[in-house]
Amino acid sequence: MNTLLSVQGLSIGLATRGAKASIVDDASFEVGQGEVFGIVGESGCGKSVTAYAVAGLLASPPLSVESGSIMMGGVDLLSLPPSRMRSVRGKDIGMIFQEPMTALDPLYTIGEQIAESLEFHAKVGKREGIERAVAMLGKVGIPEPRRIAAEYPHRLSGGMLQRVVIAIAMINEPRLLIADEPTTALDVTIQAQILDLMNGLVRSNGMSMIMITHDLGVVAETCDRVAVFYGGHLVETAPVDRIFSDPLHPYTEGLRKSVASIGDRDGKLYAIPGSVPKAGSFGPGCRFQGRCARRMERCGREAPPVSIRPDGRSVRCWLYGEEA
Amino acid sequence: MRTYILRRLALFIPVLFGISLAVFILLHMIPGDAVDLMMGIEGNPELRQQLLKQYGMDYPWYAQYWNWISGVLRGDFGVSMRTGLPVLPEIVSRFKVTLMLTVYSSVISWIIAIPLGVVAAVKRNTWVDGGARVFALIWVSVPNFALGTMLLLVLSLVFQYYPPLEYTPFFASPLGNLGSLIWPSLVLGAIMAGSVMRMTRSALLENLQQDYIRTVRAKGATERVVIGRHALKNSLLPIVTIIGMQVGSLLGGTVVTEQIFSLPGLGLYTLTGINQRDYPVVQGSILFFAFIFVIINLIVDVIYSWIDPRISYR
Repeated sequence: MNTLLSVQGLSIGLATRGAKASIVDDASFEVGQGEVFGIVGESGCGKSVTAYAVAGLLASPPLSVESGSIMMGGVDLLSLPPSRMRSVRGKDIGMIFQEPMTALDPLYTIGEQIAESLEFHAKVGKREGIERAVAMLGKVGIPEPRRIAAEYPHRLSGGMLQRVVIAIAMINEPRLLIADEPTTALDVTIQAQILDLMNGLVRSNGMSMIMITHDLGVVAETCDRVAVFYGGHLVETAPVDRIFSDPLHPYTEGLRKSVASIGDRDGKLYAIPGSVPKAGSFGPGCRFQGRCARRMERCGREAPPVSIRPDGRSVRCWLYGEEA
Repeated sequence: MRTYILRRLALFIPVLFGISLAVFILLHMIPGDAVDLMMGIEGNPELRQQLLKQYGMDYPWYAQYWNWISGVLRGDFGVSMRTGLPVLPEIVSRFKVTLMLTVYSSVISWIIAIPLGVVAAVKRNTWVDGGARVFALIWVSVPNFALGTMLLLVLSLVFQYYPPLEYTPFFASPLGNLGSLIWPSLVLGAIMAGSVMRMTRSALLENLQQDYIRTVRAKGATERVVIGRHALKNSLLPIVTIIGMQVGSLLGGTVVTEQIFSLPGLGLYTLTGINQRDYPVVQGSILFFAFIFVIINLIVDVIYSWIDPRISYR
C-alpha cells in the first residue's frame, strides 16, 4: 500500500505560564492510501491534538509543534507557509468535528456554508456553488437537499448537521479525511448511520481517513489499523484485528478488557486502576508505569523506546524492548 | 414581520400614555410651579390667581392633564408658558439639530471603534491591543464637558480657529451644517467609541473561540474571511444593542455638549423648561423623547432579526 501521510517524531508542546508541558511526545505513524487509520486513547492523551497538527489547526499559542515532520504527498506540511497550508486545508485534508450542533455558523444557510468550502479553492460562482452543495447534500443522505440547503443550522437535528459537516469536508474530494470523534455527541441510533455513511464515502472514493475516537466499538467497525495513545505517547500501532486478538502493550490490553460485552452477564466490568496523570507531570520512565499490571523495575528508570516487531507493528514497552 | 411591527406600533399607545401620565404627575409634584417662579418673592395673591387662570392651572390636576393630553392627541402640544411659542414646532426644529449631531457622532464613533476593536481582538495581548484598550478607557472615562472644553481651547488657542456660533441647517448648506456640528460630534463620537470598541473586542474574542470558526478555518478560509464574514457578523448583536442605547440617549439631547458648543438642541430646551417649570415644554419634550426611544427599540429589534435567523418575530 502506498503511504499518503507520514508523521515522524512529532512532538507538541503546551505553553503554560513559564513552563512548557509536552502534550505529544515523539509520535510516529503512517497512513496508507485508502486506509482508515484509528487513533484511540482517553481524553487528554494527545489524540485530537495530533490530528489538528496534521491539519495545521493547532491553537497556537498556547499549542505548538516542537519537532518532527508531517509528510503528505512528498511535502512537509509543517514547512509550508500559512498561505500554502490554507490551500491544503479543506482541499486535500477535510475535517469532521465532534460537536455538529456548534460546528456551523448560525448566521449562514447550510448551502452557503458548503459552497464556501468550494469557493476557497476554486473559482465557483454563487449559483454553481449552491447547486454543487445541493448535490453533495444528496450524497450524504439528506432528504429534500434543495430545501435543506436553504435552511439555517438551528432548524436541523444533530445527526442531520453531522451529515452537513461531512458534506463540507468531502465536497472537495480530499485525499485525507480527519474525523475527530464524529459520533461522540450523537444518539446511539444515529451513530451507526453516520459511521456507515463515512465509511461508504471514504471507501468508494479511495480516500484515507484518520478516525479519532475513544470508542473501541467504532474502531472495530471502521478502522484498518489503529494507533493507541497514552499520556502523549503513541504506545502501540497494529492492524485492527490484532489489537483485539493479541494486544502487545499492557495499556492496550487493559482497554480491550474494559469493553463490556453483551454475553458477559456476571462479574464486574474491568477498569484500569488509577487515572491519567496531568500532562507535564510525568516523571522519568514509562508514562504508564503507575497503572501497569506488569511493571518492572526498569520501567521506573528509563522510558521505553519504540520497538518495531517483525510483523510491522510498533510498541513502546520494555516487555518488548530487548528485541528492538 | 409586518404584523409584528404593526403590533409593536400598537403597543406604543399604552406605553406613551403611561409615560405622559407619569411625567405629568411627577412634574406637578415638584414644589413650586411656573407661576411661583414668575412672581418671585412678591406674593400678590390676586395677581397669582389671575396667572393661574391664564395658564389653566386653576383646575384640578386630572382636568389639567385632560386639557393637555387631548391637545396632544390633536397634535397641539400647547405653548410655552415663558415664551408663548408653540411647543411642537420648537421641538421639531431642535430635534433636527439633535438628529444631525447624533448621525455625525455615531458615524465617527463606528469608524473609530469597530476597526479598532477588531484589530485589538485579532492582536490580543500585544502592544496594539494594550494601546487600543487604553485609548478606549480614556474616552469612556473623560467627561464630555472636559473633552469639549479642551477641544475648544486647543482649537482657539493653538490653531486660532473659532467654531461657528451660528447653527447652519443641513438643507441650507450641508457643508456648513457639518462645519457647525463636526467638533461636538467628535467629542460625542470619541466618548461613544470607547464602549463600542470594548464591546467589539470582547464579542469578537468570544466568537473566535467558537467551534464554527474552527470549521471555517478547516475549509481553508483566510483570516480575513474568518473574521469579516463569520466572527464579526456573529458579534454584531451586542454591538447593535449598545449602539441602539447610545443613539437613543443622544437623540434625547446632550445638555452639556449643546451648551459648550452653543447648539440649539433638544437637551437645552428641556433643561430650561425644567428650571422654569414650563410644564408644556417639559411634558412635550419628554413625551417626544419617549417616543424616539420606543422607535429606536423597535428598530434595534428589527435589526436583530435581520442579522440572526434564529431570532424571528411573529
